[in-house]
Amino acid sequence: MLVFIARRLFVSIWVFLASTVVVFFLATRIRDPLAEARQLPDGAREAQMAEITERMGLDDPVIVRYLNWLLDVLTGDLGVDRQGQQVNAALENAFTATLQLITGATVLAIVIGIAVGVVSALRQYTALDQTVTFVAFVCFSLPLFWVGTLLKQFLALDFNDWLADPTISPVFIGTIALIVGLACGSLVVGDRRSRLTAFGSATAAMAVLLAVLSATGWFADPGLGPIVIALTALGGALGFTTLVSGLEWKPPLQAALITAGVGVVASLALRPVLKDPELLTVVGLALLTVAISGAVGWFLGGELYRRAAVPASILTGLFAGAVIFTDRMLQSFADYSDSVGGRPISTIGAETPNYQGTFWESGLDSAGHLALPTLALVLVSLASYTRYTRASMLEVMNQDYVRTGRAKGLSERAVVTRHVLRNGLIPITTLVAYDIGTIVGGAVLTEEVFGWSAMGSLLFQGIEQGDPMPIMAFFLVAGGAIVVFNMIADIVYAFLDPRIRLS
Amino acid sequence: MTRNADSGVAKSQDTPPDDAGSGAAVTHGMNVVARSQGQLVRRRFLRHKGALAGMVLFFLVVVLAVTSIGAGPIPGWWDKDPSTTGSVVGEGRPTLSVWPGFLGGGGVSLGEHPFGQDNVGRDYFALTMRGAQVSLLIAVIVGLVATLVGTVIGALAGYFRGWVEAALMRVTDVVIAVPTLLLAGLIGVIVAGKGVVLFAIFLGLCMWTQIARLVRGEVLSLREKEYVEAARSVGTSAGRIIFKHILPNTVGIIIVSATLTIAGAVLTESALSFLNLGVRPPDTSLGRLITDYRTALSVRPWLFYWPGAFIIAIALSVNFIGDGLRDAFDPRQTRVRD
Repeated sequence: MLVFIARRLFVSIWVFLASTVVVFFLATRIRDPLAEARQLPDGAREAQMAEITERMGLDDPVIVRYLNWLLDVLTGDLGVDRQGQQVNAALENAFTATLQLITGATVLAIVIGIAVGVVSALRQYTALDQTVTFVAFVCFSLPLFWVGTLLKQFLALDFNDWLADPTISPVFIGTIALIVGLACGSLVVGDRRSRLTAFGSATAAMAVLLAVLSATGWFADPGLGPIVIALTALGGALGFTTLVSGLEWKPPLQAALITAGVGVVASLALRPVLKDPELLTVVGLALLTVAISGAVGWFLGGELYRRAAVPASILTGLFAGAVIFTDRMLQSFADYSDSVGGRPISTIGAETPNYQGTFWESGLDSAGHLALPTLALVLVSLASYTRYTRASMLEVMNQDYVRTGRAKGLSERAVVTRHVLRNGLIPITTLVAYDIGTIVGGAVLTEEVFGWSAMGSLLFQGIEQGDPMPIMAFFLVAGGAIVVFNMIADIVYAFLDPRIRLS
Repeated sequence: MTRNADSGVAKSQDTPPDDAGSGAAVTHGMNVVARSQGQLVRRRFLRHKGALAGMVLFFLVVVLAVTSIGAGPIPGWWDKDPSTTGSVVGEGRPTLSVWPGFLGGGGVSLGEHPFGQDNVGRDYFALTMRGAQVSLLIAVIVGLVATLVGTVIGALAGYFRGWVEAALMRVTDVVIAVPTLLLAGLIGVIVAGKGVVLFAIFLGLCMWTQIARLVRGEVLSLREKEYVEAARSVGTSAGRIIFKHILPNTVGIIIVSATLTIAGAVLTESALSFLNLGVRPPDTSLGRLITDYRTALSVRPWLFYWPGAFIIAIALSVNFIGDGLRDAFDPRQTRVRD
């Protein structure tokens, strides 16, 4: 394995070096960097041209310029752009912004995409599967910039207008309830009667919920409150235990339930701490949650059930924590919305300039700015994960060992989670790694549409001015990500599938 | 399409002769009809409803784009020209009406300007059709170039192994390492103003890596087959083995990835044109139209909808065709419902 990694690393370094040569040579050929200077009046022209020529080394052959750039980069210096600004500083800001933009969207797209793909494979050829397939194809064919501009123009403006008087029309309630009901009904396995029951109850529950929320003006001043938190945490405990071990064994279920209970009590006890916490406090609380819920699972699980109780308990703990976090965030919504003039969903940039607020309010500020780009990115990238997961799951589900598992009487849950999911997700890990590599380069479009000054602006600056330095800085990050993640994908694949590494 | 004995029989057993009520025939192993590989593929493709719908939609878009304003010297049936300005009628709103009269609408009619007019009174239907023509042309050229380059590189790398493979695959890795938008964008700026065909060819030269990798993988396994061994033992030249014996057996994978490359090319071209790195005036394309009228979105939203709708229609239909082809060429694909 070590030999494999070393060989792969060696190849990657050479490949990346070669690609920097290609990009550098292309970047020096796009445009005359002196074009603007040539337009200047007589006196200033020569001085300006001489200055730029000196700064960019235009008198040297391209190969010399490349080698100079390479030597500088090896010492961590990305050089100066045409105006003499340090590229390092620009890259740092741009990279932070891009990272902020793509992290949430990527995680969401991967999680939702895989989950939808798994469900769609488990219900192959049902109406649900066909709907998912069709929607995935549509998303796959959407031009990102078009969707982004539309979301900006309509969703954001309409949503902000709607918040001024947040009541939902009966038609809208009916439509949403019907969609939720149909989804629930098609998820249920069983005869027509049980499906109709699921459809009916889900539709009714959704309609009542929306009607109540609308009537009480919840959307203007949202929040969950202790009762909803408790109920959600309880549901989380049951759900995660079902996934991890099934409900028939007592210890994992007890561990998850106790963790949920502790979470609800903690949410009440920690109120003063959570009023305006530091980021570090929140991270610390999350770590504490993992530790406590892990311990609960460890002790309640005993020798026999430890392997099921610990993950069930930790997942429940983190879920309860996330619910509490969301609740605090939602409670600050009314204040935040007032402070930005009732328009919380923003269409331009990464943050409201000079915004000061509590931890929750500045969190909401970021969320309001991230909402639209994230939605656009998720819509467009969701589809490939769904399709691949579905295909990969179906492939595994037809294997003999899955049939054997069913034949020897394993529960459907055990077959799906332990046999199908584990093997079906191996190809997905590599797909995810490849995709993460390309995402930095692909975020350029989103940044352009939503007016983020991030990695894309380096690229456009370089192209506009015929200046290779910002372009190379962009490429070092975007191309570097591709090379590194391709390497990770190969190594992970070799690690998960011994047939590759031994051949 | 080569017809070799073992795959022919195996596949006809995999594929039940008809879709409905075939359970009995399959379980008894009877009613096995001998079909050539081509027939099998065609049957499976035609049973794929999504692919058929995609085929029809794609055909309609192509026919509409080509016949409406004509191509080159040949005139089309639409009487307006994409570049002629004129007076703006009714704020330039679309006059297309598809709501039949008996439902309270204005009846089904095209009107003077079915897709509306832009701010200087150009007919937007003609403009969109011109954009669709260019986008389709670029996508097809990209598909052809990428498939040709990818297939040749993949086949050579897979067949010769050794240093040829190492060199070719490293070149592929280098191209992969550069983000497509960056590579194609830089080249797009360099060849700006030299016409869309040249731009399309270079875009194709940026998008062949996927095909090369797939073809290489296929060739790597096919070259170990007995029939290749046999061809080699009677002294067949390498070129003949590659092009006559190996590549025809990878045709499924090549066609599928060519289709998906075309769908990707439509989106990449429009994205590049949107970023001002692709098609430039006086040429136009669907992506270019969206950029040009982006600021008019709140006043004349139809200038924004129509090109977007056509991009989606083209990409979606080609993706569906590709999916159908993938299923049709996949021998494991049986699609028997239980």
